[in-house]
Amino acid sequence: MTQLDRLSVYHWLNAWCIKPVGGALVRQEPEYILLALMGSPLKKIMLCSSEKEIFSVEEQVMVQHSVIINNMIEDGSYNHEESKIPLDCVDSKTLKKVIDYCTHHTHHHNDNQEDLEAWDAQFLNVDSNGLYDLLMAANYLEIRNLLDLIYGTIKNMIKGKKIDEIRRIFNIKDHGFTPEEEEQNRKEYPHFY
Amino acid sequence: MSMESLPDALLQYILSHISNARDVAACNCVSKRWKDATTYVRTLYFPRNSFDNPSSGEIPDNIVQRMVSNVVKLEELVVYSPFSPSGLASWLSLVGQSLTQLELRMDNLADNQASRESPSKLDCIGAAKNLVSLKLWGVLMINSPKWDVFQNLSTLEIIGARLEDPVLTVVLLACPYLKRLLLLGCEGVRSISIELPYLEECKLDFYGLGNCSLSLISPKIESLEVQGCSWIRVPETGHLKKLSISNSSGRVYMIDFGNLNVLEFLSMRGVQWCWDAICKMLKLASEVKHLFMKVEFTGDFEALQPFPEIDFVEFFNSHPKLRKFDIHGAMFAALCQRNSLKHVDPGFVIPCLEEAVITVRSPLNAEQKISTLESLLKYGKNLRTMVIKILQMKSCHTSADDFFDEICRLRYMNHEKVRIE
Repeated sequence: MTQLDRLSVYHWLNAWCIKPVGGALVRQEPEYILLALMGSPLKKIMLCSSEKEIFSVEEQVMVQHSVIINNMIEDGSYNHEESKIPLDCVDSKTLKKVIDYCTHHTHHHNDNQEDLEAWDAQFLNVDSNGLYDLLMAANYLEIRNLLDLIYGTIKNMIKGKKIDEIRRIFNIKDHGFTPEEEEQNRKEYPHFY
Repeated sequence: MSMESLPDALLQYILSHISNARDVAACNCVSKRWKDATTYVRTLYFPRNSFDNPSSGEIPDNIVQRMVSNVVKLEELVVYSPFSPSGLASWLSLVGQSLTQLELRMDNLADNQASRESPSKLDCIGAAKNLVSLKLWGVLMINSPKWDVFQNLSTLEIIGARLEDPVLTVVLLACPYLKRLLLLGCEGVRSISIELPYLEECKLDFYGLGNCSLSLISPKIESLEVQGCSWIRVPETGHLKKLSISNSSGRVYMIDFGNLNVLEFLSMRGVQWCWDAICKMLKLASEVKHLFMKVEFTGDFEALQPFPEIDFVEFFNSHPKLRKFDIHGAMFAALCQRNSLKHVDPGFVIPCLEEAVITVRSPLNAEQKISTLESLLKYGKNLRTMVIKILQMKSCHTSADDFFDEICRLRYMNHEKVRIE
């Protein structure tokens, strides 16, 4: 333990404590303690959902995926010792999923393409509201690969479908056409309905 | 919160990436908001069967026109379904300015007579003045199109065409800024001279008797593939990295290239090449890293001749950078003949060779062939893989079996490196 820098000593000491951070109680993960002992701390950051729940996640993971978080860390507005990042437009359930996605892709980036794609497909196996929440979160956090994945999924939900089906999937109750327009459409493309 | 409350910007982004015309048409009818969002579609693609089952009495050209007119700034239009010249003209009058990519399935080449309609489909394409990429499938090019110069055209691909030399010349004159030119499956070319100062990639595949002449003056050319020419002249080759010459129906007899100092990949294929052309090519390509040789016969005239001997040591000494070596049948046999291997300079080595693929077809001169294979293994210090392909061995007697046994023994002795297919 000769090469510890000041920061890691601080974190190592903290590792044994449960301390209040921004109104919630946070406990450090066991593997973090171990790594701190080995002299290379795994820097974690705190993300706070709209429901005020705190999620601790490896800084490296979020920085790799989210442009917003990367910028915050780089320009120094995030202070490791004190701060948490408030994400008021992302609820806990969605935030947990987003963290899940980023963590998996960081730790498994060497996996073969097929396995990753299978995992992604499973990951996006949610209802359309869940998908919407993920899309908004990914858009807010600027997570490019998750965004592209969701865009692709939405496109596939549209391709080859009939119009009534699309309206159902996307929960479109009022199409906004005048009765004449709707009738005209049905006349021009009868077998799309 | 549901999909309905998706902000306009995101909805537009998603829908703008839908390109299949059928899906775009469906989106246009889903809701008013979606119809507004699809005006930002960037590509419209009409597959071949788009109008096989017409629903309304509307003619396909008009349906395409209606869809094209609903888009604000169409960038790419791909139409594989049938259309008429007037239809094409009407679409391009709407999007000719914004269109950067156009791909069309043009004519039925089985029709022996070009339609006399004027303007022709080819003429109409001229209205898309800002095209960056043009790809045409199945074109009858026997009348020169009335085109102005395409200032932005950098890629031209014509696949499956019946051409006439003067028409091709006129077409190329209208595209002086081309960087990529692909003419595949083209019939009717006899002699073509290409002078395109910015051309970097060129792929020419001419059908017919295999006796076309090609002159290419493009100092920036980096990759060139030619099939079906017997006379090839490319004087400026300072940037040429990849070269592939093949002729499956005629004889390659004249090769005139500038120096090939940066050539990394060379492929020589065909039924018959003049010996002079082969030697010249091999001599110029002294820096090559990957060499593929599959020529069956040599000979300066009609008669097909076997190859003279190629000196093994001299060959590898004059291509010191060779990393990957693919050699077939008759040419491999030629490499085995001259037995310079008996008195090899002790310093001789094949320094860079990592991979060798040898195809053998006959058991003749088996001993020399095995000896050559062994030499490759012995002098190729960095050789990692040797693949021996055995094709159509004309097995007369036991000689074929003996040869095969010898090869297996070689494989056994060098099992980490040698593989048989």
